[in-house]
Amino acid sequence: MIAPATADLRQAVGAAGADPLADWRVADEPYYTAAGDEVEAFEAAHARHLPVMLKGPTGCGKTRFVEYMAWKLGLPLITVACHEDLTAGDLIGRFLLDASGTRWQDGPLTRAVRFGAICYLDEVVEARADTTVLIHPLTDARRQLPLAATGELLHAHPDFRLVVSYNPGYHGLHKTLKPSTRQRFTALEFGYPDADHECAIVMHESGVEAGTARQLVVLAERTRRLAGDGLDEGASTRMLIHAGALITQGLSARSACRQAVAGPLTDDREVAAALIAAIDACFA
Amino acid sequence: MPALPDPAGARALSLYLRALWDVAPRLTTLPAANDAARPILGIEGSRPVLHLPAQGDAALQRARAAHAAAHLSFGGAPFERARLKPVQRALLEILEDARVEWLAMQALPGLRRLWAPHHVADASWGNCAEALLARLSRCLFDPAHEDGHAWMAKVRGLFFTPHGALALETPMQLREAASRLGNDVGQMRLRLNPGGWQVEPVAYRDDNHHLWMHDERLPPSATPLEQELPDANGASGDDDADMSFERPPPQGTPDSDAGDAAASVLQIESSLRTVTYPEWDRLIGRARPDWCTVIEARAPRSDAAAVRAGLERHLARTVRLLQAAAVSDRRPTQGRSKDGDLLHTGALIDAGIALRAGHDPERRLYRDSAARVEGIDVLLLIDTSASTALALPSGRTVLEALREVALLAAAALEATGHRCTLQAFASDTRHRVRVQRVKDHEERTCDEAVLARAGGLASAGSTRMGAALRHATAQLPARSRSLILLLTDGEPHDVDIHDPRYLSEDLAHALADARRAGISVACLHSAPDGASSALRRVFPPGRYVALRAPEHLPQLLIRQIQTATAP
Repeated sequence: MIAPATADLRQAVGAAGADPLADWRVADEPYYTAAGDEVEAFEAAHARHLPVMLKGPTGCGKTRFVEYMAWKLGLPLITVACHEDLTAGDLIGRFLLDASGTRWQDGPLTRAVRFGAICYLDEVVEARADTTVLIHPLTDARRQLPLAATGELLHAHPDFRLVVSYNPGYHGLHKTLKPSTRQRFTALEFGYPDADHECAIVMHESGVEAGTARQLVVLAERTRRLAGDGLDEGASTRMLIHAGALITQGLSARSACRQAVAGPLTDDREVAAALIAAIDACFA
Repeated sequence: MPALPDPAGARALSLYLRALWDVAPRLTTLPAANDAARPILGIEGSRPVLHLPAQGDAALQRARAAHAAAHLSFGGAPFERARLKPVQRALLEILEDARVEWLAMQALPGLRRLWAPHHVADASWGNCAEALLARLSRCLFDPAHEDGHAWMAKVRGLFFTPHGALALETPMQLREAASRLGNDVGQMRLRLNPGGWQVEPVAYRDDNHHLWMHDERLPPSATPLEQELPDANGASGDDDADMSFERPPPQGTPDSDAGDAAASVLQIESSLRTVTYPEWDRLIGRARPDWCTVIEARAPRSDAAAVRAGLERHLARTVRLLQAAAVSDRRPTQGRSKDGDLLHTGALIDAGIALRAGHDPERRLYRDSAARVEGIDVLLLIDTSASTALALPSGRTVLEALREVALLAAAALEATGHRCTLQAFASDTRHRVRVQRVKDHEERTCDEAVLARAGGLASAGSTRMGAALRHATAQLPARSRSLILLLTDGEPHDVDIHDPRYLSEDLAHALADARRAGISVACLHSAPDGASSALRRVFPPGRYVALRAPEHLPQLLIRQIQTATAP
């Protein structure tokens, strides 16, 4: 009763001739400039079907990099933001009830495995350990996904790739991946871009002019000195882009940074006072 | 007794300096009684000291601190006084102040807003030497200011290039310029009263004594320097004062014969057992077997009442928060149950399928939310080395503060279903690492005997963390749900080791051994110099925490327990 349901689904897809992953294709080239050899490294891993783990602080460009690589390699990209209540069903799929009975609905991971896409598990440490083990048979030579609920054993499409991201730096709320999971991956280390590079990114993404972008980067570098003592992490490139966007909307640089940098970074009154004073120092 | 400025303000100031310039001077307050007080920056010694006048709002204190930080960031070696007349020295100070501020404002243009309100000297101040120098300070600070005096234009011409960049960059150029300009002042027939002159603006610029080489012939400064602010290590509120320090720890160098127990600084009454542990020797790249001797003893008893009072102050809140965390951790599992609060979606669908297929549906349709609280084994290890004898502003010692935090943690852990052991350690060479048992896991923290033993802890000896940690690891069951919490004010140190990296690397190996045994180790650190970079390097991210006040303990415990129990 169950197996025909999946077969029907496949047939339906085949009959329509439509690309089942059309919505997940990256149509336009995402803005990304390489900081090092990460593009070549990713391509090498891609060529050999190796799973990739992107490590780095929040907002430093990991997700953008995956989007760019998906575009460059012409692969659809299915992103799953992991959280602690993410269940196996959320990744693999589940039966849904409809008027005629039950219907199997592929989850994002299954869809990527079945039709060939990059499955990107963002912040994979947040996922529960029983969820993370699902990816084990996909990450070695087997490249299979057993679907216990349907009794199906999926062999991964040749275009299926697995990419996870992971922020090792959360001081305090630190969780780690089990060695049995992490050792399946090749890892690319991401950091904040260097000053000139970050400046160019902020200008491009937010539309601010060079002088303002440079001061935003000056501010970010300074907040990053407080990481681990006062702040969990310093201001991310993403925050600078937000601040820049507010500035192009007409806010003064100082108000924009209070809103986009100081406020989101901390609730601690004293740290906030220091950040606001630092913002005042950075902008004339 | 002058009022201490708002300690919260001091912490914000300290963070401000570290963020903007990556400098961490010790901040102290000058006595408020001193009306003429101006900031004083001391750069001798290992850590700069900034003495701030007590008067002044947050913006003024920031202006003072930012100016001092500009000196620290852009200043050079001190100048020789020799052969410079007072007016030339005054000019050199003005030029150097303007130079470091100009450089600071290149990266941080907003500083101009901070300093500008204090530059008010203009032609109305007159043309005496002091007034001219004050006007000059303003002209150099603000190149756009119109003063009208021809000499100002001349100095600007020397100080700035035609494009507005800095023309005087080297100490030699500054000194030459000061000499030449001093002659100008002489030719104007102006005389500077060397005793009464102070660099303007007095409000935020420091007295610049650090620009000059120390001169033995000068009388010592009459300005008393005292009243340390609790800086980044301190925090808000009364209790935070306990976590900040009156002065840096004296470099205790207990000089004792390694093997001679009688001469040791560490008293040991009725040792329970003696165990040897290996120690990592970084020079030979391997562990020396049976190298450190750990002597385990019961802590001597003392008065329990004082200890109990401190414990009870924070206990209720800590326990409440830990319990709340334990409850929120108990999320509905994937298990199915016959009753519960939430329907189990999978079970409902299975039941729907079973009904339609004509089978009997499974009755367990709810999510099973049974408690998942599992107690873990926690070993709290208190550092009782000599530096913990330092007095805090409240009159308590560091050891008393660490002890309170440890007892609080023990009591709270116990109240939330964990098993907890409390021990203290200190060392006096590798032959004598003392571990004192304060509380065994079958004892309750609030037992009279436990509190009396906690009261009996005394500060002495050094900090051989690796050996203490190996001993702690050996006592815990080797499984994933145990945690060692190290409470310390210092870094690995012992009197028989002169290589600063040796004990840190041994600690790193001891940590790796613990990790292999499935034991989580975290370090709660509290020290006058802020975070310990050596310990931060050695501990994995998130396991090294700078502890500022007992209020922060619950969150720290919750995180560390979650880490230790993470599947």
